[in-house]
Amino acid sequence: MSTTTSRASGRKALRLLVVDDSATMRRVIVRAARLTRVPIETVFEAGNGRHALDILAREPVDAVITDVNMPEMGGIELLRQIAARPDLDHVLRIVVSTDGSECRRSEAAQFNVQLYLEKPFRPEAIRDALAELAGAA
Amino acid sequence: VTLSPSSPAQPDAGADISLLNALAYVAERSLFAFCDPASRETLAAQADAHRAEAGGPATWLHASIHFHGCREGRMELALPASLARGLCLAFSGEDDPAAITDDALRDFAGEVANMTCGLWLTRRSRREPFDLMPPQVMVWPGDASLERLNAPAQAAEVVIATINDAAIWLRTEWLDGAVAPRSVHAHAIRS
Repeated sequence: MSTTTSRASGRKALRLLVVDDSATMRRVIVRAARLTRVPIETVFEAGNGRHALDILAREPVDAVITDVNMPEMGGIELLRQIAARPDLDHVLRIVVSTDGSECRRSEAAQFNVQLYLEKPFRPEAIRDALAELAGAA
Repeated sequence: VTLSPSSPAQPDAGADISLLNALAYVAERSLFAFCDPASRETLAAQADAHRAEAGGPATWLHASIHFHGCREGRMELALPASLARGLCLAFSGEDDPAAITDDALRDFAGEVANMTCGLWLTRRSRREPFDLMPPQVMVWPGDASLERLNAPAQAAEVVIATINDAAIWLRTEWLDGAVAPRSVHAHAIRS
């Protein structure tokens, strides 16, 4: 998957990992994330949880934005594995999913998810969430 | 979570479970487009008009998505490729139409089906999680799409609508053998 790098600024720049099996949705999320004033150093993209774990194994990442329903490994299992790694405690976790059920939200909450956004979303929702969470981090 | 076929989950009281409204919400929220109810006559008239102008049927994208959880079923969504291209530009914020490749267009059609189906299932019951399989997207001539729509099937609900004045259709089907809770949706056209 593609990796893009933006200009660094004086503020600590985020290294973002976007996980979704739809390339179009990843593009939308990345564009929305770049609307925020929080500088983004690098964006990694993965089409499923397994690929996301591969990236996390070799790259430092500050925030993960993940879908839930994906082939091979879904978002909940990805979050479970992130939560099991103390070295990833600092990683911000945002879920963006079509599944808005209370059960799925509770499941995600067990793994320290800071925000659960339902699709369809307005791009501003990603921008605002990232600005708030990254600003507070 | 799986319920037996004899005890399908009932929608939440007062929930908006209209498939048309789910599509309209996706259209307005993510695609920046207007969605209105339409008829089979509108669909047929647009197909005829395209054939007269272009000398052949339009190309359609057909996305099928299988779901299971409290119910097992399938949702199909079909829309003209020309409409999908315009909506994909709006959705992705892309300025250059050439950036929307055929693969990107298929991916987009699958994502629209994914969002519509997921929203519809969430609105049916917020208590029950569900799994959506990856959408299967095919490219069909318009005639094949209309034949598919008109083919006898165990459809639970059929919706014909326009998005930005171009006709599209959706269909849901239960695959678990349970009797679907019947409800009347204002603009839904049941087969």
